[in-house]
Amino acid sequence: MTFRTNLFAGAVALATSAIMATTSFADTVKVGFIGSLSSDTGLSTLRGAEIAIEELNAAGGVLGGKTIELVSADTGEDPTEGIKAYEYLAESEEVDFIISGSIDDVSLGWLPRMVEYQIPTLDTWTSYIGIIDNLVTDYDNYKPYFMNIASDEALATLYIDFGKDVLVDQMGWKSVVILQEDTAFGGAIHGLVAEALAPVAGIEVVDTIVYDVATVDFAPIFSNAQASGADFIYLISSVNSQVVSSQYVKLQVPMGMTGVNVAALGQEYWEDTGGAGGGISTLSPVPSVGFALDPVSQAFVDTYQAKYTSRPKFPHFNGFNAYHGLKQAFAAAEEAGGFNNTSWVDAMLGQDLVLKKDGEMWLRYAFWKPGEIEERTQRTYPHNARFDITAPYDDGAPSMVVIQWNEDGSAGVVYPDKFKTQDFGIPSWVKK
Amino acid sequence: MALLEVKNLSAFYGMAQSLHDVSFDVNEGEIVGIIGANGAGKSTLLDSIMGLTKTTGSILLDNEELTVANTAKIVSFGVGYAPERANLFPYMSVEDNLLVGAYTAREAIEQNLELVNTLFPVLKERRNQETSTQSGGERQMVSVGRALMTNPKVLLIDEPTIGLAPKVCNDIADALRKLNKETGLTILITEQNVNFALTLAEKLHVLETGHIRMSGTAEALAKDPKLNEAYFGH
Amino acid sequence: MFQILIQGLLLSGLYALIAVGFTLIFSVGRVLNLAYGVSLMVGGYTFFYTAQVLEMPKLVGVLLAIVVGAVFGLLKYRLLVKPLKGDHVAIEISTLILAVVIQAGIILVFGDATKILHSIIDGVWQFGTVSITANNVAAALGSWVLILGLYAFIKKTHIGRAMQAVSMDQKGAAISGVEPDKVNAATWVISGALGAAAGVFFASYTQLSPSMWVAPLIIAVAIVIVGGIGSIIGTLIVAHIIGFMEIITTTLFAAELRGVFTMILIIAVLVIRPRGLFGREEL
Repeated sequence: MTFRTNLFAGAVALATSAIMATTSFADTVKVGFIGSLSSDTGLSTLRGAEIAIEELNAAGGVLGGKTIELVSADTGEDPTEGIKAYEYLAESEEVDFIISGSIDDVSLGWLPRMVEYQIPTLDTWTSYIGIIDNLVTDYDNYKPYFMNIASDEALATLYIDFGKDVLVDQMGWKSVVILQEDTAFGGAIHGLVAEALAPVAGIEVVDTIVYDVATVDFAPIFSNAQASGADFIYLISSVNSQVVSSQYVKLQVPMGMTGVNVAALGQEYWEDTGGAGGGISTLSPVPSVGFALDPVSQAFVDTYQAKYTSRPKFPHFNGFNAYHGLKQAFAAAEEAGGFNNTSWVDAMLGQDLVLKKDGEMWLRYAFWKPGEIEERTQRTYPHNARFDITAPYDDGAPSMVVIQWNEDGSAGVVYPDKFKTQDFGIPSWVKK
Repeated sequence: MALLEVKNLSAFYGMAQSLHDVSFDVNEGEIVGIIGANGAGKSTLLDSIMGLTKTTGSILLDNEELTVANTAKIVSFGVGYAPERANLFPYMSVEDNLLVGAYTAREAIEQNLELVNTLFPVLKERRNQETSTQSGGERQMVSVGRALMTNPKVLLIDEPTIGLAPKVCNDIADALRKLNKETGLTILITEQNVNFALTLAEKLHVLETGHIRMSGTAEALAKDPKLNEAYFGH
Repeated sequence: MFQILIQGLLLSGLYALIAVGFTLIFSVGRVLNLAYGVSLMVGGYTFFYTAQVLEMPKLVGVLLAIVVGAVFGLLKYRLLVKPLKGDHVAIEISTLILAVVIQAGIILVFGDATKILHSIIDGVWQFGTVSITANNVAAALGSWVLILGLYAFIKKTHIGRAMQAVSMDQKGAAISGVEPDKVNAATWVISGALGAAAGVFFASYTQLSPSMWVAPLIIAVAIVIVGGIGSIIGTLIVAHIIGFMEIITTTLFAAELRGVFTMILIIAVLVIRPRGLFGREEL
């Protein structure tokens, strides 16, 4: 019943905010949320924003005592709905700032609307580098856009190191068979693995098996993977990821498997797989499941868990991003005297929140400035989260970590070493 | 006494009325014939007794009112029906067709099956044949047989001879006569073939455009000049 | 070869189980029940809720799923199909709408995240590169038992023969003392129960999600089209043709073409033998 009750409460809150919207007066500032209201991803961003707003309002309001009001627009993870949602926030609600928990395709859908309306917008989930590339080529039009998660390319670079340090040096794996879902995402990651990770780390790609996302039965696919004679399986899955990972477990496929598995990113993964998820590892943005938290982030989680009892019971990384990002957006607005001007963008670029754990830099919420070149990849990442992809990670948070689920339902970080809570391993049924 | 009493029966197909105030009785153990041309309303009359049309008036079987019951109920009250088009189940075997007839009379299956096999020995030989592959005469037999499997008090038969060779007509007539004589089963039969009806039925009613125009014994009607004019053209 | 044989048998059994309830409705009721996939979903979620959330014994979960599926089938018949009185287009559209509405309901109650069920029966054996789970063996055997049982039921019992009768001639059935309404209701109940049972096995191997009704519906439609509507044994055979085609395609050609050959087969059958391989419309 808790689901229903919460939904009902949510519906009442939405209705109330709709009524508030029509009677809104000048001493409020409107924040729009865009994302899916029924996915763990969307809800993480929404709740992170809600908590930040409550704290800001409780501390006396913003911009000279104004109250922040949150308006939500549901995308249902559909690009067309996403465009409508953005238009609704911009035109009907005339929001001052938008916080987004959109997935890649949805963000790409509404991005031209952002260019048109020039509303400051912060993305917390999508890491699509193509969006940052827009800022590189057309900065003036795209400058109200910020993304406070490390973009794909930064994720990839650090991830290649994982291949070399762990898969080859530690596990002694020399050859891989890639299981790739038949999607654009699958194609992109395949390129990364086959053309960058494998050659750099010295791993031979013996075979690539592309599978249909609606595949019901992975038994023949795993048989083929075993028959390829490779040392391990590399899985690339973003759609229906639970199916392939749970069948790996149920079939007890006697080979190690790692890769990119979007379903395994959330704390709900264990419950969703009914416990058939042990041994699965995936790269994850930070703070991931199993990631040791600094005191500030831990306080956020405590507030979150006291406030929300329905899923996601633990915020995904984008919930943290939304919480810190929204506060930074308002700090910038205080400096700039509001949202709708270039000075807000400058002020936002100046935000820098360093979260320390045991005296060490642990997480950092800051942005790459236009023209600023990242050392290792030798390119610019304007308005992208300021990540660090080189040990000892003293200039920012790592762009990603690798996490692994254990057969007892716990999960931990296995790479990079600084953030590691456990060793990378293979499931118990795989013979060494 | 009357087993089946039809009183002031009118039937409607949509807006059109196809039976007008039809009344007649069928006594227990009788064979009663309804004769009439194509479109006179013979099939409608039998369909109406089975509750398959919209009607006004009253139909009593053993003083049980049939017009308020649905078809399945009417069957279980004791009305068996072999319709003109037979309405068999084409991809089921002869035996299965007969067994469906026993749906509401399961306790009497063996005895009724025995009866059908005695009346129509050919059905026993062909019990595993699908009815879609059978001749018209055999299908008519299955249809009558299926109606008998419902364990009826009165059997309604709609134009059993239509499209059949004279030899087959005679076989069916013999079987019905035998049935009536040996089991005392009451039969209401419709026919276009007046000769066939006259040789089989004791009492006859002439139906014309939904009205009963004439009634009488077979003997009396055979001599009636109006009937001769209408059906034999002399 | 061994791999293809084993994996083909297991997948085909699952597919046959999925299709048989759909076949039943099509041949008796003559309507495409586009909410059929929802019966599987309802069964799967019922099992999930009882066995995995409430942690009751799995057998209770399976039985409860079957009961809920049967009730759901009856409600569909009484509230949708019967009032629409044989208007096939209206029934098909309304069952499709029902499926979408129930999908939304499932999202409301359970959220839209995918869930994985525990195996109903634990255990896995390795033969070379072939892994066989006890769960799938049970599903395949269960499908054989259910289908052969259904076949015997249809052929050998009064209610089963009445179902055949209604599917071939409604008037003939009525004057034999069969109430088509009751037989239709019974058919929807049995179809719902079969669907729910299939749903538990399907979901226990793949996943539970609010959109999981689509895939089994497509499988069922494919099998019924290729098999020729309504032949129960035809359903079993075609499930094996489609299941084996899928395994052979995945194993020997390319995994991403999994569904393509099935689609080509459907189109070819529609063009060459529109009544299906075992074609006729009745049971």
